[in-house]
Amino acid sequence: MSVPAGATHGTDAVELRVPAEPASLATVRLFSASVGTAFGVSADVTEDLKLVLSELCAGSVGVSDTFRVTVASISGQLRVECRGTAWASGPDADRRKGILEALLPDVDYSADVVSFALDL
Amino acid sequence: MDLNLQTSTEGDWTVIAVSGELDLYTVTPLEDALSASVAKGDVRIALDLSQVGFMDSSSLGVLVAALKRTRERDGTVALVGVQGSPAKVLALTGLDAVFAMAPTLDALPTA
Repeated sequence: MSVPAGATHGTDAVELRVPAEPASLATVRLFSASVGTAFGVSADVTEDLKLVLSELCAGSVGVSDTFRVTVASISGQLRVECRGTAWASGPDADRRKGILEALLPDVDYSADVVSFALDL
Repeated sequence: MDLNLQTSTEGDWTVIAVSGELDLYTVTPLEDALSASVAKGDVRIALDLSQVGFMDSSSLGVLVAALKRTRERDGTVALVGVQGSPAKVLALTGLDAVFAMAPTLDALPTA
């Protein structure tokens, strides 16, 4: 499996930690694409994952020092947990919130953790 | 990931062709190009997004701001060749119904 710098992986999960900065967004999308390949995710779901993680990483800017995402494949689902982000913050918060809520109807989030599952 | 912009004229449209990925980090040059175009009086601006593979909510904010500024002068911003993930983002936010959309530059309406 090929993953970007900053990513680690165990037997059934991968994790990425990047600075919570705009410059990290491309790395997060590269990570998402790698996750899609590694877990055999469809192209459509991989595109959704890229969008969701990029938006969540953008939401971490100014909120945290580090954006951390862990992805595991469990029972036919991709389970994703993000730390260091706000659900929707910043000047584009309303649009970001709209995108995330449309793509993640069953999301779970608290002050610092966003977790969700995508069907494989 | 670099963002490339090329500005040209097609009839009465100022065309800004964008290639790359549009996000919070890369969108500033596009924001600057749109501001410059509006400042010099362009009122029909077409953004050729056919070579854009990704677009996020920050980019949408820039597009909407440009649309508002051109509408203040009875102008418009058209989005050309939107496909894939950017098309989905526009649909999810309802902005595909707000912007004029054209499949190709040839399909842009004439004045």
